[in-house]
Amino acid sequence: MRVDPWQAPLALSGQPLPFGASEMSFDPLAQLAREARSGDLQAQRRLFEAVAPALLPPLRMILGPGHRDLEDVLQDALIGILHGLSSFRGESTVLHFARRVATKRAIDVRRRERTTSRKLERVRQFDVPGPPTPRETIVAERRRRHLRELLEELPEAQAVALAMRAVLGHSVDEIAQVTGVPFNTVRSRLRLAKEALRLRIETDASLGELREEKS
Amino acid sequence: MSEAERDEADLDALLGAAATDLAADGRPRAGDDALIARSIDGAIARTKAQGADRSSSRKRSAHAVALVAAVLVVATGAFGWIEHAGIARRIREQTRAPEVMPRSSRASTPTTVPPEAAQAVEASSAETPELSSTPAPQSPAIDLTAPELFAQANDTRRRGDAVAAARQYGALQRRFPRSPEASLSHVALGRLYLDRLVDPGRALAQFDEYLVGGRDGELGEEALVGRALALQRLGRADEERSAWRTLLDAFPRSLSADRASARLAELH
Repeated sequence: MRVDPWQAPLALSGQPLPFGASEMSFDPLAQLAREARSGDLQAQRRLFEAVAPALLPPLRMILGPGHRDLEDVLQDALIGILHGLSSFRGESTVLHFARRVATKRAIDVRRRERTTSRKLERVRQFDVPGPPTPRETIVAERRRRHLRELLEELPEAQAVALAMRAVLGHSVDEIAQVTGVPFNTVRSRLRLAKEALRLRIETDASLGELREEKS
Repeated sequence: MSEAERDEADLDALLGAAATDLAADGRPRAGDDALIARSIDGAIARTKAQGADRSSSRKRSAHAVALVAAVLVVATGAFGWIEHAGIARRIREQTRAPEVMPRSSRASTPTTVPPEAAQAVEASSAETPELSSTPAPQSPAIDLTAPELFAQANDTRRRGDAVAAARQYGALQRRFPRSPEASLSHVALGRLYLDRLVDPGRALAQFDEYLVGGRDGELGEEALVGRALALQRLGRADEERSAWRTLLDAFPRSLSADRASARLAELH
């Protein structure tokens, strides 16, 4: 069964993520978040335990599954969620909020790494020829790579909109709502990001060869 | 469908395909539970350390305010005595003379304030820059107090520079070995070695230092958990088993009790 691309990240987290005011009133984590914000250590731990499993998928999607700092980034994201609760006004469920914080943290990490030698390591790793793999696997790998690199290279606002769409599965409406940015601005940012993705894929010589092989 | 709508649909399809590819990387993996548990432990330890840091910072500010108030009382008394002695005019003339002019930021401070009082004002201003009209000069590390060194190390750790933070915690422990901040820093440094610097041997030494120092204080539970985790990573199963039991004996309602029990069952 093919997973709906916009729901896949949510489905993978194993938890339903309702979005919208009506569901928010039943947010099962709202009370826990209030207690955690007040400094209750037990509540903080319970909140972390509740949200952490849902943070790993977006972190892995953005950082890559074998990222060496995944554990540290998750820890930083949990601390960031706790700090962010003071300004959280219930624009979404607590779980949505937590996933946004983690997504933003992962984007920050990628963008920071862009300026370090790690990127070179990644590129070298990618360029090492491995065992033969089916064409579909190669195409998927390159699309993933292009999307991740775009998160590093696009202007930050576009990168965040792109991640919220592609990683968290938010609609344009939802992104506008939680970021407080007009609908048309979000749509415009997403369009620019998608065009950048298309440009990268169309100018990727390897993908061109693969397309020619197929035809 | 218009050309623009078709183009938009093409772009959506392209992004949808890329998102599906990405989603494959987000699938759960073996070992996720342990990874999550370690991250939560680390986050809780950092939250506790930040709480302790804020608490010591508040105490430091209160002390500084009290010190400034005391110094002002002394200085006011000294100035009153000088006025009474009829030499104030001469002192004011002296303060206008360039060769005895004090620093511009303290132009109104009489030069005849007892030197020890002036030094105290200077010291308290340096500790509480918000009370000074000009920014305090950048103090070299050698002049930092234990709370300042601790705060500096915590800031460095929060910025993600684990190596520099470890060095600063080490400096705190060497220079102020008996301070409460040095005591707390053993747990913070232990977690750094454990979680970020991948050095469970040194982590264990830090947790042990905290525990054998007779400081069964607010981070005792964290130190015991850290100790058990360090032993686990060192592969010292017998000692790890004993460490988890110690944790359960000392903190039967520990937030890590489930984890300890599970690990004990695995080690059995």
